[in-house]
Amino acid sequence: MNRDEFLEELSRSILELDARKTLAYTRKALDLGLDPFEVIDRGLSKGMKEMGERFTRGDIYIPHLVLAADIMNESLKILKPKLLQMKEREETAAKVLIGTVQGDIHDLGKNLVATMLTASGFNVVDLGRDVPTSTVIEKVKEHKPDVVGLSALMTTTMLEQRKVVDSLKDTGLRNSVKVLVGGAPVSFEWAKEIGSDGYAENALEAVKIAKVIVSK
Amino acid sequence: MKPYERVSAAINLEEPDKVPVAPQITYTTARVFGIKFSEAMRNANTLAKALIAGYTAFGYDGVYVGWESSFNIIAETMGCKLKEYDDSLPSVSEPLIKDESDLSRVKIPNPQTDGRLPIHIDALKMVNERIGREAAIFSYTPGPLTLAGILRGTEKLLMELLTNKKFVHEIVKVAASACMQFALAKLDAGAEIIVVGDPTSSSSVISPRMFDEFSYPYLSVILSSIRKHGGTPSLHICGNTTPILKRMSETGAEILELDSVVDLATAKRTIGRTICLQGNIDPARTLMMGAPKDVLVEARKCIEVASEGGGFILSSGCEIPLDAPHENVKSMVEAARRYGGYS
Repeated sequence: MNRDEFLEELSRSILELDARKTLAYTRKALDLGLDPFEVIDRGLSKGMKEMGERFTRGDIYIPHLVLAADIMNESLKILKPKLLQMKEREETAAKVLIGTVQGDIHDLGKNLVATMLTASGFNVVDLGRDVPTSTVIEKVKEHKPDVVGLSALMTTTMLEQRKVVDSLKDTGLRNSVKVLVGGAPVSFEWAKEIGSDGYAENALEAVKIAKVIVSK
Repeated sequence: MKPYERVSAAINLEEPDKVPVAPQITYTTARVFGIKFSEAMRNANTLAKALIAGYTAFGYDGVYVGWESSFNIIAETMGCKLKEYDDSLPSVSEPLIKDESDLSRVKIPNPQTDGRLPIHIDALKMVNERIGREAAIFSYTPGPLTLAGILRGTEKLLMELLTNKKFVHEIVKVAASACMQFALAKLDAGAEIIVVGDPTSSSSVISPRMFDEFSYPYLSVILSSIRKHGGTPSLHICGNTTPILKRMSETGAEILELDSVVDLATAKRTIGRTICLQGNIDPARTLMMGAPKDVLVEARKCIEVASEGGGFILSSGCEIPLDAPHENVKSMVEAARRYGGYS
């Protein structure tokens, strides 16, 4: 099997949700001395993006997407030591700070967005779930991200997204960072009303919009 | 017609005098009654008073007796830790079933004695005593797959739908019996309509095939038991349910609560002759962010496409947000009265 075929097989293993195969191929890629960024781009990410498209078309559902993301994250763990040695690329990648807002413990959607962003070459800092506004502000100061992604699954917690935007304004940070919002009750109108920079309906869309807004 | 008669007629697929209206409103009545969310969590009397205050202020036909989501209180009673906030919905912070061996230690709660469940049973009795002779009394119990997700961790459970089906069935079975006990206790306490709320079963989350395998068998047992015990079973699945509408109508439910993303006209056309439909004004965009006139327009459209021949209850697509303007809830009731007449 040549390198192209090998990476194609790796990408296919994600589509087949075959964790054992994905992990074995990832280890083997390192043994063969393949560039880990290429393993991600042309192997894992390629599979993950195709999963995202299948989801958008309605061919697969959330469990398939969550399982694929989990397999991909396990593979990334294997690649991580090698990636850290080749850090320069990470520093040039756009940085996204992401979290589920305070009062909301639903992190499934947020995790999928984080995985898809990582798969697409973003440097993702995941703040987790139920993240207080003050923590978001602190972390923006610390990490100086290009984008802040805020997730909320409930109508009671989507109001927190507005608080974060307001707080970024109050602390003078608003112009240094783009804000993306998402979550089941969130809409384009809401994103506009609270003064954020963008809204994404699903994880694939989030990647597209993140790419557009960092290039602005 | 009395409010509850209007609702009964709709359930029996007959035409009432007017389209009945039953907004899915529980904790939002905190704002009417002037309390914070947390104040009614541990006090049956306060809970009942807030719900009655909502009914009195808005004058709808059906009253939902509940507060925070029924998943939370059942999961808490079964041993999950709850994270609470002063003025917002609490959430389950840690799953209970960390591995397969934990399952045998899970106990089915007794709604009369365990945790905060008796508060909900008592509140139900109080509400029923006060307004049960006028209004239809709705109350929730969780759907088995959704409760299983909370007990196991939803992300884990969803993956296990693909990787460990046997374990999922074992968890769902335990969850189903907790859901059933709560439903039956609520019937005894005076609820007429038991709404099984099951967001995880949505086609926005799982495939129709997964619904058939992991939800349908358990839902149909619970829903038909509710009927056998003299109650009216209702099924509420959030998000997109268009691909499973037909199957949902075969579960034994007598009402389907449809969320705002479902096209009501399609639902009416495909299953509207066999089951009462309820819905489906957008809770976030219209009821929380919209103006009263937006509510009137959307409510009128719901009535136009779904009320013909009876078998329709006007409602929100899902629970009405805590800070939805009261004028919007009033508008919804007004729309039912203004546009909902059967002649």
